[in-house]
Amino acid sequence: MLVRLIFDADGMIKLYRSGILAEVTQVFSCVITSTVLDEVVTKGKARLHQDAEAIGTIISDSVELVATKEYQELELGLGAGESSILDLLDREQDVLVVSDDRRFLSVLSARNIPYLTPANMVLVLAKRSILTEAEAEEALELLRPLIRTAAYWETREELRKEGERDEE
Amino acid sequence: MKSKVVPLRIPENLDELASLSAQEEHTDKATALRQWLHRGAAQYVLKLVSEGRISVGRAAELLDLTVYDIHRMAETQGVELGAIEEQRRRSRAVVERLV
Repeated sequence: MLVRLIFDADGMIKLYRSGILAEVTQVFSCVITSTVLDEVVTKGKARLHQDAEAIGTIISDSVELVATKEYQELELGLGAGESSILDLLDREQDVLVVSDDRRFLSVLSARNIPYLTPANMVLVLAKRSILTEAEAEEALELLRPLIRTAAYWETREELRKEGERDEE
Repeated sequence: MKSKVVPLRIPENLDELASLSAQEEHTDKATALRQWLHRGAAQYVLKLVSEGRISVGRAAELLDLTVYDIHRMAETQGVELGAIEEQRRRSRAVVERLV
């Protein structure tokens, strides 16, 4: 079954910081909303965040952009970007949301919408042999300052087990 | 971002400290107080994100910052954001679908 990935700003920035955003967009069909693009690229460039330019290039090369309306009345403690994704999810099937945002994930859990954290995306790429064990560990190290300590150690342990399986 | 006037009664010692801060920063007392207020608001917002009461995107909107700024603030202040155990468990269960 073909699964499409939808990124929120948090998930997309963390994948970029871990150095695997380009790989993910090459391997999977990916989509973002225009509201998330605005948060990550337009506002990021306006505030001179260096990552914004590079993320913008990756998006224009390999991520489908879906236009969304402007959000003025927000609920559930979410921002405009996350709200735009909820709207998109009403129209899409067989999608996974990539995010590490505790509030957003709790809303997705309540709606039974599947999601993947950036740390688990590193694991996916390692399991698919798109990243070597060393590359996956390096990606996880880059991600480390942005995720919970427990998430780092859990993923590190999973990568170690994956490496052992490969050796056998 | 729009601003509004808020009448505020503060203790004399804080007023004195605000004057001192204003002198050191070469600014006025009202600006010093606004800077303190903004720093306090930023810390409170980070706490709300960490507790899962608001999202990172909403936090950026409330502080008129970007998601990059929220990540950097959390990193420099040692505040852990991100999925909690139950959410990580759900995410982990999805990994096999993509392998």
